[in-house]
Amino acid sequence: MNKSPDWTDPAVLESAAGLEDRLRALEHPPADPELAADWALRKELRRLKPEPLPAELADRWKHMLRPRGRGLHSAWGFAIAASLVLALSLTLLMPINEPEPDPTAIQDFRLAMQTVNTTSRKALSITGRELNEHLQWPSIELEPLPYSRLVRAIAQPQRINVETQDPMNDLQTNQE
Amino acid sequence: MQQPFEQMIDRYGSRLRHLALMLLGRGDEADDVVQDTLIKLWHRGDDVRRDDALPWLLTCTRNACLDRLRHRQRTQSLTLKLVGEQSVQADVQSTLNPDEAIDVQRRRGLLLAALAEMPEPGRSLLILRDMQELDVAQTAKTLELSRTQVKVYTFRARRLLRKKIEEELHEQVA
Repeated sequence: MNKSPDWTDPAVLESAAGLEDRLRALEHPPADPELAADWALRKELRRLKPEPLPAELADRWKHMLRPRGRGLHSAWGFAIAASLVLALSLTLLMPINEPEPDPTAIQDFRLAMQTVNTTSRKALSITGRELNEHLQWPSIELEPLPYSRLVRAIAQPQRINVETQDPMNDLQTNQE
Repeated sequence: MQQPFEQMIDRYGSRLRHLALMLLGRGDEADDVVQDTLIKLWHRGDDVRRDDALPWLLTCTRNACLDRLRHRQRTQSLTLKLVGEQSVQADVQSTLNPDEAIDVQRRRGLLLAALAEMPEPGRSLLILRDMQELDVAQTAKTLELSRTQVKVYTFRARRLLRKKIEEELHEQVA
C-alpha cells in the first residue's frame, strides 16, 4: 500500500489541489488506479444530488412567511400611530406663545368697561326714578325687621314734591 | 422582500433541504432546520446581499445541523433512516435486475453510513462539492476556507470516505 502523503508539504498540497481539478475535468476514469477509484466515488456521490423541492413544502414555507409580511405593515401602522401620539403630546406640552398685550389697549379696555358700568348705573337709576312716579309700591311693614330703615331706603326710594322739594308720603302725588 | 424571498425558496430550497438531510439523516428535522433558516433570512431582510445569499443560507443550515448533531446521540443506523424514507434520489435504472437493484441500495447504504461518520469539514465538502456540485468560490465562502483548502480538503475527504467504505466491505466479506 502506498505511504500516506505528507499533507503539510506545500508541494503535496499543490499536487492534491491539482489532482482535484483534474478529477473534475475528466470525462473518463484516469489510468492511475487510485485516481480511478476517486473518480468513480465522485460519480457515485453525484448520483445523490438534491431532489426538487416538493411543491407542498415550498408552498408551506412561502405561506408561513406571508403573515410575517403583514407584520411589516403592522410595524408601519404602529410607527404612524406613535408619530401621531408624539406630535399631539408635543402640541399639548409646548408653551403657547401668545403675543404680549399692548398696555395702551389694556387701559382703553378698562376705560371702556368703566364707562359702560357708569353709564349703565346712571341709566338704571334714572329708569328707577321715572318708574317710581307711576308705580304704587306695596306697603311692607319693615319696622319689626332689623335694619328696617336701611331696607326701606333701598326698597322704597324717596319721592320728592316737585314744588316744595319735600319728601312725599305714600298717599301724596305731585298732581294734587 | 416577499417576491425575491419566494424566489430564493424556489432557487435554493432543494439545496438547503438536501444538505440538512445529508447531515441529520431525518426528513422532519431537516425541514425544521431549513424552515428556521428561512425565517432568519426573512428577518435579516436586505442585510443579506443577493450574491451572498446561497453561502449565507448554507452556512446557517449547516451550523444549525451541527448544533443538533452535538446534542443528539446516534442510536439508530443512519443508513436505515435514509433508505427507509427514500428522501435521497434513487438512481436505480429500470434496466437493472432485482439483484442488481439490491446491490445498488446496499452500496448506497454503506456510502451514506460512512459519510455520516466523516469528520467536518470533509463531510460538508463532499456534500456541497460532489453531490451538489457547488463551485469552489461559494463553497469557500460557506465553510470559511480558502479556495486551495476547499480543493485539498475535498480530495482528502473523498480518499478517506473510500477507505472507510472499503474497510466496511472487507469486514462484511470476512
